[in-house]
Amino acid sequence: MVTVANFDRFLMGFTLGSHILIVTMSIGFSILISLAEFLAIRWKDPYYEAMARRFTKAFVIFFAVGTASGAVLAVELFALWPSFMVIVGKVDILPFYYEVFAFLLESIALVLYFYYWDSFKNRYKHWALSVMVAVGTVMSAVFITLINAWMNTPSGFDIPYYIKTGILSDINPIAAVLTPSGFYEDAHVVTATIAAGVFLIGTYLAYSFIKAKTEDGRILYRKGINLVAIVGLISIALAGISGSSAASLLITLQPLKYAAIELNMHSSTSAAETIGGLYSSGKILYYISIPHLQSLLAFPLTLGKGTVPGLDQFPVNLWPPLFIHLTFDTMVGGGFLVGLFALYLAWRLFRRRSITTKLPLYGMIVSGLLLILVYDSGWVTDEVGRQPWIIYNVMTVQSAANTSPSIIPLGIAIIIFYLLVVPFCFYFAYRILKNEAIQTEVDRARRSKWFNR
Amino acid sequence: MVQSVNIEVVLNLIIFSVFFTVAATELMAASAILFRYKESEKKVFKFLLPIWEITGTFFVFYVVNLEGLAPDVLPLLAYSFISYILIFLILYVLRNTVIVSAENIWKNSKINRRLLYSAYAVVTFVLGAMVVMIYAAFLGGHGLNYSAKTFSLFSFIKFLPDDGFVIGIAVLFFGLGAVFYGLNVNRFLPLAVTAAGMIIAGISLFELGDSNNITLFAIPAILTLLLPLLWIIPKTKPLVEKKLVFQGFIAISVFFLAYSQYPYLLGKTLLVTSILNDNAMQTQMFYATIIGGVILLLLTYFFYDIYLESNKGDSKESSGDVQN
Repeated sequence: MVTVANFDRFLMGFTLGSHILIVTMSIGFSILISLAEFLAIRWKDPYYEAMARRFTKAFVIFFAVGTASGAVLAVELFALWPSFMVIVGKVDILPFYYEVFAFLLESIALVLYFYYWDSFKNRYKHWALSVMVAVGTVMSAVFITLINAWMNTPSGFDIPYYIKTGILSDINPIAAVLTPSGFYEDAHVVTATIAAGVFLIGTYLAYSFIKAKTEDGRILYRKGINLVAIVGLISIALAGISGSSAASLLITLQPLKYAAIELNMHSSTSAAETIGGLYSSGKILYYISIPHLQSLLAFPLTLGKGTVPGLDQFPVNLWPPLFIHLTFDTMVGGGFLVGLFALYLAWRLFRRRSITTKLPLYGMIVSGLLLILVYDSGWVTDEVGRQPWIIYNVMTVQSAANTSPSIIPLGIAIIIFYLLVVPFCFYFAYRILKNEAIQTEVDRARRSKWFNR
Repeated sequence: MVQSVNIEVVLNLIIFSVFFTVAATELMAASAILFRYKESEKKVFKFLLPIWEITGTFFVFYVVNLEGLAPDVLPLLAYSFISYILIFLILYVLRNTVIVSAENIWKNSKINRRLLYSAYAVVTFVLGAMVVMIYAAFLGGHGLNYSAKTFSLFSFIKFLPDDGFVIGIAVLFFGLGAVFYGLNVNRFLPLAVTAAGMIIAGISLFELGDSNNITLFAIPAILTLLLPLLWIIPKTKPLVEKKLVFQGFIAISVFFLAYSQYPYLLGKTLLVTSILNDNAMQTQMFYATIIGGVILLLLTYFFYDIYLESNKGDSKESSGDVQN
């Protein structure tokens, strides 16, 4: 049913989904830029120098639109969910506030890094700015994820008393920052975001390598692809490990969400992993079952000894929509495939074989796109898996929403606007890079004082 | 009347002053772009292009600080101004998109760079007007119903000081723009325009009925008039054209103007101290502001150090491939 609250939910989800796409690119670029410039300085390599400059131009575009869409989200949070933000403001505003400083670090460092590139006599000082940009970008993600973690595992106030009376008491802002799921969520979200962003940049590099007409172009893209392969492998491996730990933690912290994402109807001590499957009238249809695998993944240290929760332990009206099992499968399956592909690339690099042959190149194009689907599926799993709660077991989405009808027409306008702006952002960044001749940039790097010492 | 000062509120006002000062550089740039584009290419863009991305960050800084300072104000803001907020958001994304496009648009593109910058200027004006309008509504309370959480634009406009405040601010910064960016205009013109804007905005602010300490008006009045006045004198002109000096004057002026309203809002019907957050949160916010503020100061120092260094003996735009 289309209620204003549901519209709020859709609008928030849509703008967050758009923002995520842009931010993923920003995080990927910030790390690759820093690495490329470091290699450029260390090895006096003009190709890495040209790469860092090119990536920075694209990064600035994503940053500009990302800043705006981030501000939109910040304002939307209190505009669409005022009651929720009142609790956040009183209990858990600190991560938001810390994030502002990370954001300031990122923006000021980026401005200096980009606009005053050639003003630095010591190139390592300039490179240090790129590290500050990357740190600011990653820390922004860390702090924002802490808010999401708190929504999943609220802490820092007397919850039973609040549920009983609606009054917030015993507020401990630091306890709210140190929410139980914070570390695990952060570890998974940050590594997964880096992986998604880096591989999506890899998609661009692989495509450009195939289309490249000059030798300089091919060299630059090849070096970029190598960089992506290494950073991609590390980040996707860490994302897998941290993701598995975060999922296991749900057994204790959010058992209902765990049961829903695994589609467990009953609790079990030797649970099979269900792949695929649709829930219909109390039964699960169309699935594959792998015996004991779920228990093994949930309790790896005891080789599967432990009890996983089932949906039948909870009232049906509190169940989240069970399609999240499919989004969870998409996330795990897709991530696993890209992980295997990253291992394959690493193996080729280790054997000193080129990764710019047909299979690695097309694999990289597919991986970047697949990881966006994986990433968004993970996000949907996390958010929908918490429904009907906006703050788990404390406040429902319905009770937090701004129900002013004037949101709808303007919200539709925002959605249309985003549908134009986000593709434009990607297109514009692509055009900027396409229009800039690599030859010119590499020559410019070769001519610079730094490379002629 | 002597008031005990809440340090968190003071910090919030400082953040507001800095945000408004940074935003004002864009408002002044917008008027220069619209009326003196050719000159702006040389004098405005070299400052505007690095700084416009930071304005948005300061905006978020202020909003989040406000959320932490007085979370109970949020439902009022959310329900009363929801339409304006959503329009503001669309324009804000548009502003960023347009200026980054203008900055990076390639040669022989079908879209003209000047057109994009002009669009940016118009959008910036509208955004500025909306910020000042919401601020004026919170000061005077006209059109704003606190208990029903509604806002009537008609009631707001009907009360002339509200309009006067918005128009006065626009005129004031139109006048100061020539000083800040060192535009080639009659040297007495900025003083006349700034004085006119200041009188309109000042009287309007007084008439909004929220001021608690009008003697503080003298500080912004003196500092703001000093800027165009010193600009007339050849010896002191270079001093006020220094970005840091100018921005320092504006930040101090905005702070005292905002502080003159303390501790009231909504035409003295709302006591600010009654809606502040829990003590535990205020303490943590205070520590975070101090630590973050020191980091920010260092970054700002670093920014101006490099900005001034790169502009020494070289008035050219930075070499970061701003023009493609």
